[in-house]
Amino acid sequence: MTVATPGDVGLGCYVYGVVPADLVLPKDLKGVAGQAVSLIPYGDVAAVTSLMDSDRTMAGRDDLMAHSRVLDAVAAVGPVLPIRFGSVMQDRDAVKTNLLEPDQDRFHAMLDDVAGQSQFVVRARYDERQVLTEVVAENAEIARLRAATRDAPDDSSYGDRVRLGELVARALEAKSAEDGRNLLTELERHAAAVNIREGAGVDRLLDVALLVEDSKRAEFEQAVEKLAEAFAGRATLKLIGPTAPYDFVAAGE
Amino acid sequence: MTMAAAGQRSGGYLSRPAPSSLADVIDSILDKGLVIDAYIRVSLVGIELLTIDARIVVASVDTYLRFAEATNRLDLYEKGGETLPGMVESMSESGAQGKTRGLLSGAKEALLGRDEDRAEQEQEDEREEEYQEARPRRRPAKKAAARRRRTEE
Repeated sequence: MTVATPGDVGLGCYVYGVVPADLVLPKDLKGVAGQAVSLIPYGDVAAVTSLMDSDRTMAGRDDLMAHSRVLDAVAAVGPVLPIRFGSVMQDRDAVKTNLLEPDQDRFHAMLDDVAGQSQFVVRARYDERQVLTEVVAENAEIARLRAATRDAPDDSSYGDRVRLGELVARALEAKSAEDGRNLLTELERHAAAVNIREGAGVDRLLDVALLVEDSKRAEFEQAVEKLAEAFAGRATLKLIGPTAPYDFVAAGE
Repeated sequence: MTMAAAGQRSGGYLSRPAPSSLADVIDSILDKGLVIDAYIRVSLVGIELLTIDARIVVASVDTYLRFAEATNRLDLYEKGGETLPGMVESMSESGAQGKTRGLLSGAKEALLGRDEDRAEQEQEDEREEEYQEARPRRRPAKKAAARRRRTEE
């Protein structure tokens, strides 16, 4: 896949993101495979890159962590447009002429859009026992099926157990939809943009990325803390950020 | 804006992990960020990992059976003599410490606690195993003892 060029054998450019050309990188920033991170400027934008062996296979934990560590560190000093994990280009010239030059204006506009803002992610997860207990207490049919199946042999109660599980799954969905709406209504008041992420798992209450103005950050953080307190015992809230605006750049056309 | 706030653990109810866990990082970079056109980039490596759909298929018989079992497991607490409303109360009391992990946790977290380069089916098995492993921890022995202590007080 790699076309080796003289003097540049096997070395590609790992690309993390795009920033304004006048951005000053944090000192001694190390990227994927421990390589020094540097800027490749073109016009008023620049790519955040590091050298890497383009034959190297990636996707180890260290690579994933390095990718996000670099982007988050850069996001802490200025606007950045994250590029998808694992993007490697031929060399510095390719970064300039193939990536930056054709889309310079678009990148510039996008950087203006995210400037002065940071991404936060709020993850809300139910306490499994608590939420299941609520579901049983609130739903007579679930309570009945539970009573009918709890001491029955697996074979004979198969149909009832499937039905029970289905009702529980639906009840959990309804519950998380309602609780999620309430959380979101409050969170949205402090955010410039939101992206609700697809769910994984059924203790999931809400996964949402929020783009928060730096000037509103303190009030946003306070609001999340209040929500965490309000949900204590039923669900736990986790706040991740500030990070680069991963959820708020177009995911390619 | 600075990263100075990273690492703080504020309030007491809100968890603010720093640095971010691998699972959180994956969630943020999984299918996000600008895509460089295929014909101008050398490679988009590691994509096999990242296109794995780790989401639980909720609407499946298998999943339903797991829910049913999780729900029935609640009986273990009830059999100690507590009625359901009483149980709700005592669970609320125990709050944070009563947190359980396992069955209903996000698939990604379950996956990423392990080696990341497994095939999808293996990941399914893995979850199943984890679920099985989780069961002994949920046995009521300790809980019953704790309840007894409370009653004596």
